[in-house]
Amino acid sequence: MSAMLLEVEQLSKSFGGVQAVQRVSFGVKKGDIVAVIGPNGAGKTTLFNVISGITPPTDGVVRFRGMTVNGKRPDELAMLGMTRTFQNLQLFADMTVLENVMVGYHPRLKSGIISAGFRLPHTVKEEKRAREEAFACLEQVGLADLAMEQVGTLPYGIQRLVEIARAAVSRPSLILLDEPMAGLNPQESKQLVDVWLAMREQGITFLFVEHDMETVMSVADRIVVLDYGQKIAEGTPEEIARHPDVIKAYLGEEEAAPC
Amino acid sequence: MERDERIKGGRRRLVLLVLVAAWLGFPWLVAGNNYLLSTLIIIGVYALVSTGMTLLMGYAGQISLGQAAFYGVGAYTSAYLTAHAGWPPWLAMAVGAVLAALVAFVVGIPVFRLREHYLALATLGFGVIMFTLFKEWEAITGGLNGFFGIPPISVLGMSLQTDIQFYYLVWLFVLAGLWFAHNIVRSRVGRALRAIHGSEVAASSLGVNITKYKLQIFMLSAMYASVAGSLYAHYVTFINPDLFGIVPSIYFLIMVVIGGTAGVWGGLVGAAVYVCLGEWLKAVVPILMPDAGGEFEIVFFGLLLIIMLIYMPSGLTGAVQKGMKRFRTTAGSQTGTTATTERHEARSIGGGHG
Repeated sequence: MSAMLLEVEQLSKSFGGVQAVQRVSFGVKKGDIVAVIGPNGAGKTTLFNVISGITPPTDGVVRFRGMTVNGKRPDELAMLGMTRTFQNLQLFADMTVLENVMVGYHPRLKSGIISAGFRLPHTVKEEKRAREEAFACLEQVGLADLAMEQVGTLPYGIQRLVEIARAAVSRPSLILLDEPMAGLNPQESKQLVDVWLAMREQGITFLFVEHDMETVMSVADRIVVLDYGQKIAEGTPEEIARHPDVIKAYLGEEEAAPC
Repeated sequence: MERDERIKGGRRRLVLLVLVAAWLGFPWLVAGNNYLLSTLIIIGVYALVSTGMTLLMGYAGQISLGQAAFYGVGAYTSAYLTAHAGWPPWLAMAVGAVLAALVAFVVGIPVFRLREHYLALATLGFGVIMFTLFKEWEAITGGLNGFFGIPPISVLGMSLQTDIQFYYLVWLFVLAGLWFAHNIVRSRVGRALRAIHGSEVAASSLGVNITKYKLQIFMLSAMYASVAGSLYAHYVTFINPDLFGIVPSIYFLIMVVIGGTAGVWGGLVGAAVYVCLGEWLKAVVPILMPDAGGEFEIVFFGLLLIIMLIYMPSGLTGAVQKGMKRFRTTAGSQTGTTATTERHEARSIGGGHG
């Protein structure tokens, strides 16, 4: 069990009478890329919000690196090494690309308000390191030449990459991506996938929600399928493509296995 | 890149040098004109308050409509401890700042659960409560009659009685306050504050403890206001609750809005514009409207606030910054823009070189 980076056990979340997520269990192994798929309203985003600490679960357990983390705030989870991106981009529009990514480096720095205000030597050193790390991360995703641009002025596809760089710069062990491909053209999607695969090589594990089946089938090591808040299947892309319940619920009868 | 930064650093040092020279040389320039000096002292006092508020509002995006209360905490703490308890002024000032920070902490915990209008209303309520306290707690504050006979502050055994001495003291605080604020802004803490302003949910998911930073910056802004209040008390030697009510809080807000939040300088610019406009009004209005009462100032600044919010929401510093950017892009001609578009194209054609 210790190989599991993230374990979700019997997780439920209801809003009033609506059961958005019902007793869902699955695990994410270190180094894997795991996809969560399902029709609209299947509870994918709710599941993500519960795992990342934005909304507390109604019932069940989330374990991250062996620790039970239900009830922890998102910033506490980020400190433990879990960050995320958002379906509708949540960039800091008034800041530059570099500054956005430097915010992502927050967990690796220590300067508080006093040492920052007096600009003590270790703050100066930390700032330099944050800048270098952010630059290195931007170079990795191919955005170094846009570092000084205001993020709000950049094209959508670039903004997606910035958000991923921002989530990855602190070298978290797990990144949750909520529909990372939404709104990207095929070239941009391919670029994004290449970035992921490179980050995986560096030991980052990914859990993502996605509609674009082509990406899911080509990138994911494992797939979890939700429908009406319940897990209806889990397995490798091949297994999922052949799973009768999945085909019925999600892929549709006439659309055979895409790969 | 590094060279650019060094040039930038050099230019900054030059700006700083010019500022310090202006600070030192100004009293000689005005040749002991006490009216100008006292105006500058007041600008300095207000600039301290509004610099703290610029951090809170401009950077962290949190509003406070009760900032004059902290200004009052500093003023009354200094007044009471020095005049009645015989404490040294510096110690009293420090105690006032700590007390203001404590009050901000206690008030901040429930208040920062709220956002936007609700936060504004809650801080307004806090301001009203504190004003009532200053008014009614006569044993300490002297109530509506005011507090008289605050002793002067002394530096190295020399008590500061003249405007010129006080000018140096106040502006030393202003420069230190600006320096401290500027350092915060360009640090991990400043980035966290701006991130909170931009998107709380994103800031939080990247490891920023939102509540902690909001509270810290609220406490810091309270300390700025409190120190300013202490200085004011020692300068004027007489205070009354009206100086620390809701209307002054609104004026501090107006200073921040006028000055804008493009940099930590916004508060200083706003305070200077506010004081100068106020003085100008006092001179001009009686000539134009001999019957006008003291209310015209509120009406005028209220209108100004509305106009600023509609036409210049990022304030004077913001407008200047935007203008400079536009100037730079036109001056840099089209080559800059085409280079950028080319870069974009190159990236999408190149595809996955990530």
